Formats: sequence, C-alpha cells, structure tokens
Amino acid sequence: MSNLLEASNITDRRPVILSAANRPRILFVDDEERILRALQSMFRLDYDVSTTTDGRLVGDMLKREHFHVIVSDQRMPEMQGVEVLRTAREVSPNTVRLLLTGFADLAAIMGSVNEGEIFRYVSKPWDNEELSEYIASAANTGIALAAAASAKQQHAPAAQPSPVADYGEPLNVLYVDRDGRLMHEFRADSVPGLQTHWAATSSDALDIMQRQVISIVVAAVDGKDRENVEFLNVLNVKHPHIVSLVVASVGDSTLLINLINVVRVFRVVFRPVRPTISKLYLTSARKQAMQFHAAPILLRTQQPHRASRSATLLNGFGQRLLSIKTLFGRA
Amino acid sequence: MKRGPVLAMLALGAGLAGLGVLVYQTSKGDAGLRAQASAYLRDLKEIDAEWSLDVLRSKSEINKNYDPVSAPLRNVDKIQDTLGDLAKQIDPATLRGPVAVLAQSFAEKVELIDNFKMQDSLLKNSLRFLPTAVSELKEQLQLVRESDSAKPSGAASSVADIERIADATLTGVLRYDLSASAEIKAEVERLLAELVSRSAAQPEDVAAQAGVIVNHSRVVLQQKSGEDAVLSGIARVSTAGNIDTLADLFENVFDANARTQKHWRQGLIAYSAMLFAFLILAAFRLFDSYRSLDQAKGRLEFANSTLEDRVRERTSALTDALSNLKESQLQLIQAEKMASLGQMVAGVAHEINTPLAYVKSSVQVARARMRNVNQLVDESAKLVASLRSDSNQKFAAADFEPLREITSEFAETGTLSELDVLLGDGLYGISQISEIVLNLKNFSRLDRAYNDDYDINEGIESTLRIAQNIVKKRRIRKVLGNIPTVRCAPSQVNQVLLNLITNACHATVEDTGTVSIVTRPHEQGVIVQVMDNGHGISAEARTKIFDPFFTTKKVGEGTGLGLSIVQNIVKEHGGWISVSSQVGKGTLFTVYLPRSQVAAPSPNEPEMSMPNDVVEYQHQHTGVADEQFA
Repeated sequence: MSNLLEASNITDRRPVILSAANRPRILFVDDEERILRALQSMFRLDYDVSTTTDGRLVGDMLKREHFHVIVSDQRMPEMQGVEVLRTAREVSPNTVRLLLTGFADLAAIMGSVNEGEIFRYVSKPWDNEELSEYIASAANTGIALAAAASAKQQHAPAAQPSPVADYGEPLNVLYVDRDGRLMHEFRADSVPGLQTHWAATSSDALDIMQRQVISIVVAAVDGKDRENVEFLNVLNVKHPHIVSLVVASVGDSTLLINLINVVRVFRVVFRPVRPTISKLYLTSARKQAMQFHAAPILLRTQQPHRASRSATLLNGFGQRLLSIKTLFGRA
Repeated sequence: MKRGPVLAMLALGAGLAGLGVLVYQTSKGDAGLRAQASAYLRDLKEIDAEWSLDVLRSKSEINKNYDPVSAPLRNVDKIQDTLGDLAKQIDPATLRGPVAVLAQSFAEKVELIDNFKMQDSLLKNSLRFLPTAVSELKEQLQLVRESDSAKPSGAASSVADIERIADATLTGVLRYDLSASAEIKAEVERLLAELVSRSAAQPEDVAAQAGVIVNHSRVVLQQKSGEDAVLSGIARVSTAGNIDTLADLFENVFDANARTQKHWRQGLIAYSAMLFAFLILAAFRLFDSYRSLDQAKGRLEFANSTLEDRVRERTSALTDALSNLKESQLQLIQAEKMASLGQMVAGVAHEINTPLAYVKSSVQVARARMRNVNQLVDESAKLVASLRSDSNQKFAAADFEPLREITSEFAETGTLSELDVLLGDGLYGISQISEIVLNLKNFSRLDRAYNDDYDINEGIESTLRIAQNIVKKRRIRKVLGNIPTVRCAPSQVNQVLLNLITNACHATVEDTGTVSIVTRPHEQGVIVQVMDNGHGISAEARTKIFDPFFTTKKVGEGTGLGLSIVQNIVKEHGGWISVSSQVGKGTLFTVYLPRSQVAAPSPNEPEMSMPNDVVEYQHQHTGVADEQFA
C-alpha cells in the first residue's frame, strides 16, 4: 500500500521508459489530420504513437494490439469520442482513456465519466507541457495495469479463488448531504449487499469513517453541499480506494471537469435521480470497490491531476483524515 | 335575493284580492233592492185588491164596462216579471217557488175573471131583455083581450093570469139576480111552468113570446148561479195571501242577507286592520331600506369622488407597465440577438479551436526543436572557429564528433522536415483562422454604412461561411442570379439571411438535407428564396410563424423571435417576406428587397403587392422541390 502511495506521488513528467523498442503505446483519435500530426510530432520521441481519423477502427485496433493509452477527440463525424472510449473500455479495460476536445456539451462530459470512465478530460487548445504530464501519468498507469494483468495471468491458478468472491460481508455506503434526502433519491436499499449510512456534513462523515469501514461515498455537491467537492478531493488523495458518486442539480462543465480530473469521481448523476440509474450506478460502484480491494493496482487510475495536491486542502481535515478505518489495515 | 320582489308582489296581490272580495261582499248590500221589492209587492197587492173590487163593481154595474177588470192584467204581469228578476237576483233557491205560486194564483184569477166576464154579460143581456119581453107579451095579450071580448069572460080571466104570472116571473128573476136563493129559484121555476101551461091555450104568438120569456129567465137562473160560483172562486183565489207570503219571504231573505253582510263587514274591518298593520310594517321596512340606500348613496358618492384618483393611479401604473413591457420586449429582442449570436459564436469558436489547437501545439513543438537547431549552430560555429584559428591543423575525428552526432540525430528523427511540416501546418492553421475572422468581419459588416449598396449574393456567401458549422452537414444548392445591389443595412440583411438559412438547415436532417438558395432581379429590387426539403410547416403554424415568441423548437432552443425580427428588418427595408410550405416536403421562404426604399411597394400589405410572376416562380420552384424529394 505504501508503495502504491509513493508510486502515485512521483512526478509524471516523463513516462517510465521500459526500453527503446518497448515504449509506451498511445493511440490518438481525431478527425483533423493536422491535430494528429502535431500530437505525433510532440510524442513520437518518447512514445510509440499511432493515430487514426476514424473512431470506428478503434475497436479492432485495440483487439489486435495493446495500447497503454488512448486519447480521443469528442466531435467527430463518424463516431463520437464518448462512444470511442466506451468501446475501448469494453475491449481493453486496462487502456487508460483520455478525452481531448475543444467543445463538448454536458451530455458528452457526463458520458465520458459515466460510460467512458475516463482518466482525464483535456480541453483544446492544449498546452504541450500540461498534455505531456497527462499523457505521462496515463502511460505510467497503463504500464502498471498491463504489468499487473500479465502478472495475474501468470499466477492465475494460484490466485483462485478470486478475493472478490471472498469478500462476503456487506459494503458500507455513506451518503453525505445536509437535508438527508439523498438516500431516498437513491433508493439506498435497492441494491443488495450494501449497508447505508448518512452524514449531514463532511465533518460528520469523517466521524463515521473513524468507526466504520466505508467503501462507497455518495455525496451531493450542489447548493449547500458544495463543500463536499473539496472533501471528496482530499478523501481521494488519501484514500483512493473509496469509490465516490456525485449528485448535482446544475450543469456546470467546469465543476464536472474538476470532478473528473481532480476528484476522480466514479459516477456523476443529475437530479432528479432516476431509480434505474441509481441502482445501476450503486451496483457498478460496489463492483468497483470490490475490484479495488482485490487488485490495489487499479488505484493507480484514481491518481488525481497534480494541480490539486496542495497541502492546504488537506490541512482542513488534518489528522482525522488519516485515522479513517480502512480495509487496508490502517487504524 | 331574486325571490324577494316576486314574493312581495304576490303578497300584495293576494292582499288586494282579499280586500276586493270583502268590499264586494259588503257592497253587495241590497237595501235598494229591498225597498224596490217591497214597493212592487205593495203595488201588486193594491192592484190585486182594486181588481177584485173592480170585478164586484162590474157585477153591480158601477162600472159600465169590463175595461177596469182587464186593465190591471198588464201591470200585474209587469210587476210579476220584475219580481221574478229580483228573486233571481237575490235568492233564486228560496224565492223562485213562491213567485211561481203567485203567478199561478194570478193566472187562476185571470181565468176566473174572464169566466165571470162571459157569464156576467149573458146574465146582464137576459136581464135587460126580460122586461121588454114581458112588455111585448102584455101587448100581445091586450090584442087577444080585444079580439076575445066576444068570448066568455073565462077567457078574459086567463089572459090576466098570464099577465100576472109574467110579471111575477120577472120580479122573481130580478129578485134572484139580487139574491140567489133556492126558494126564489123554485118559485120562479113554478111560475115559469105555469106561464108555459097557461100560454099554451093562447094564440100562437103569445105562446112563443112566453117561450122567449121562459128561456131568458132560465138563462138568468143558470148564469146567476154560475156567476156566483165564479165570484166566490175569485174571492177564494189567494193572490193576496201569496203576495204576503212572498213579501215575508223577501223580508226573510233580505234579513238573512243583511246578517251575512254584517259578518262580511266585520271581516272587512278585521282584514283592513290587518292590512293596515302590514302596510305600517312595509312602510317601516321601506323607510329602513331608504335609510340604507341613503347610506349606500353616500358611500357611492365618496367612491365616485375617489374614483378619479384611483383611475389616475391605475393609469400611471398601466403606463409604467407598458413602458416596462416595451423595455422587456427590447430586452427580449436583444436576447434573441444574443442567443443567435451565442449559437454563432459557439460554432465559430469550435471552428477556430481546431486550427488553434494544432497551431499552438505545432509552434510549441517547433520551439522545442529549436534547441537542437541552436545546438547545431553552436557546434558549427565552434568548428568554424577552430578551423579558422589554424588552417593547417589536422582535425581529429573527435572535433567533428559533436556536430556529427547532432546532424545524425537530425537525420534520424527527421527534425528539419518535421519542422517544415509543423510550421507549414501552423501557417495553414493561421490562414484558416484568418479566413474565419474575415468571414466574421464580412458578416457583421459593421465597417459598412447603415445605408450602403450591398450585393446580396456576397451576403449569402459570407453567411454560408459563417454558418459553416451547421451548413456543412447539408447539401447547398446556390442559384445566384445577376442581381443589382440593394441599398440596405448589410449587417441586418445578413442577419435575415443567416436566420433563414439556419432555419432551413434545422428543418432538415443532417446528411440528407438540401437547402436551395436562389437570387434573381425582380421589378425594382431583388428576390431571395431559401428552400429546404425538411419537415415543413403545418398550415396552422404557418399563420403564426412571424408572431413574436412563436416557436416549434424545444424550450431553450429558440426564442421564437427569429422570424419576427426577420420580418421587421425586411419591412423596415421596404420589402416583404412570404412563406409557402408542404408538411413533410419542405418550406420556401421568399424575401423581396427593393433597390432603394423610396420605390418600395407598401410594406403593410405584402400579399397584395406580391406580383403574379413571383407566385408562378414559387410554384415552379415547389415543383422542382417535389422532384427532388421524390
């Protein structure tokens, strides 16, 4: 665990170069060839770069060969970026996904997080240095995931039965909102194997987390609950294994991008919450939490963008944040 | 509330009807009738008494003829009729019977009197003739006596006997007439028998005369007894009694009526008292009503006096509201401009963003590569310097090594050709951005005067470029004619074109959508037509599309002001706009703009001023459109 945290603290300026012949592999998808040319020029020295202007080809490409990272534009004539990334997630879940777009509507951003489970959302026009960091971070994560996957394949017989199956007791879900209606909106009891808790504020939430092992946090981030964004942020930094779901009522692309890149939120829901959606997302969150437990290497993907890792954010919660009970043995 | 007056009217009617009934019953008073009836009855009684008296007077020949006996009959009948009427009028049930009885008795009396008249005339005739007959007998007997003087004296004595018997007979008859008794009758009968027997022995004419006397005497005897019976009958007929009975009955009836009337009168008094009480109550209520009416009137007057103030207040409030409304309208129009501007800006931003992204990245990469170029230059400079310092020196491979490494890396990585490509892309991107900016500038036309001679075709081209984001996914057919320039505000005309073209695009489906734009000269101006093969506009919606706030787009997608503003702009330029559409086939907008606004047709009646050939043109075009759709 400590190795993991250290690993997440390294500065992703450059990728881990495996060998000259075995550089991290990146696939760029954009309908504008000049964009692809610029990206290629930029990354070709450090990465093995492939490009395509047709998103429909991505599925086959990922099946044929492994890529550590895929970066897609959103607005393309043949296939939308969210669709491309969803396909990628299905075909090759260990390929880290980024959305690189100039003009995306809220639906696209929502889709990228909820369907594409993207690692980063990057706006056009990008800054080369910043994009390099994103790509390096993504590449390192992709390498780690690929290594873990191949290791698992090697030790597959020994690893049976899967730790996921071992975990029998119910997972605790903590709802954080001031007026307490979130539990009802989410029909907290609609998914079996989940124990429901409620906290009005982040402070109350920390109190509960001292006593209980919380695996999933569902937090409102609108109105008076706005401060929960910060809470989820620091929670992710210190405890990336806690899966967070966010409920908002207004479409704000800046907030959403922040939730993706910095908070590393698992799912975002707009009010009113439809029962099918809440059930689906709770089920996915439960599965994700169990996967984090079974394969801690996956926590690499929870790594936030460096810009948010300021000490001041953590100061507000201080020691309490560190004394949260976890499944990883920290008292 | 509405039943009040009706009930009041009903009550008043009932009250008055009751009063009427009572007054009628009371005023039915038969005091006059009573006097009349008793007068008639008295008259009748008097006439009746006089009548009976007249019969006796006729009998005793105080009356020389029977006229007094016949005369009363008329009066009696008249009075009886009158009494009958009265009886009918007063109490028919009680009085009709007695009146009839009275009439019956009078009828009997009349009959008896007629009988009396007949018998009395026969009697009187015989009575008057008898003395004459006796005298004639005596004359005949005298003749007999003279002729018989030669005869024995016995004969003379028998003549004298006859004379004596005749006289006795006459006397007897007269006596009987005065006092009819059985003795006298028997005496007369005996004398008559003797006269007959004695005269039988006398000459014939004497005997005949004696016969005459006998006959008349017998008539007297007979009639006298009949007449007496009749007279006693007359005396017996109880007309007087019946009259009295009738009078009594009348009195009874009248008394009874009087009693009833008295009851009615008492009722009337009680009723009147009651009505009076009600009237007082009603008057009190009325007074009360008047008082509250007065109060209401007072309040009304007060309200009236304050009304003007309130009207003034309201008017100023309404004026404020109107100015607010106008302001809101301006704001909304502004909002629509901003909304379409916002859409356009978003589209343009996306258009610019892509070249901007690769330009920025390319330049950054190029700059990074410049470090290697700098290194190359530095190393080259060093080598040149060392070459210059000693021209005879032999160069070690090491001296060339750094430069060789750099150039080989350049060659391996293709840095220079890459730089060329990157800078080429950068320049291309910049030219793209420049073009977009130029389009924006052309489209906005803010550098052109408000009234400028503007080429609409040029406006269409720049509008299509500016709307590229949406237009590029549809097929655009341009049929731009050789048209004169139009004096207009180019930015506004471009707004019209942008609105019509984007509407046409929105009406169609991406990829299959076709938008045709046609320009042609027309009269003193230019016709612009924008046609699409989209979903069309229903007839109902077509009447409203130019109304402000009418939109078929979803909430938040359109303000409903676009076409309203388009129409305003076109009208302000002295032109007109019309629309024809077929649901499921497409829509055609036609705009006419005059070359100069002075020669413009009336903008108030665009339909009226739309020339025929334009209509034909539209039809032709719709036909073309149909073919396309088919």
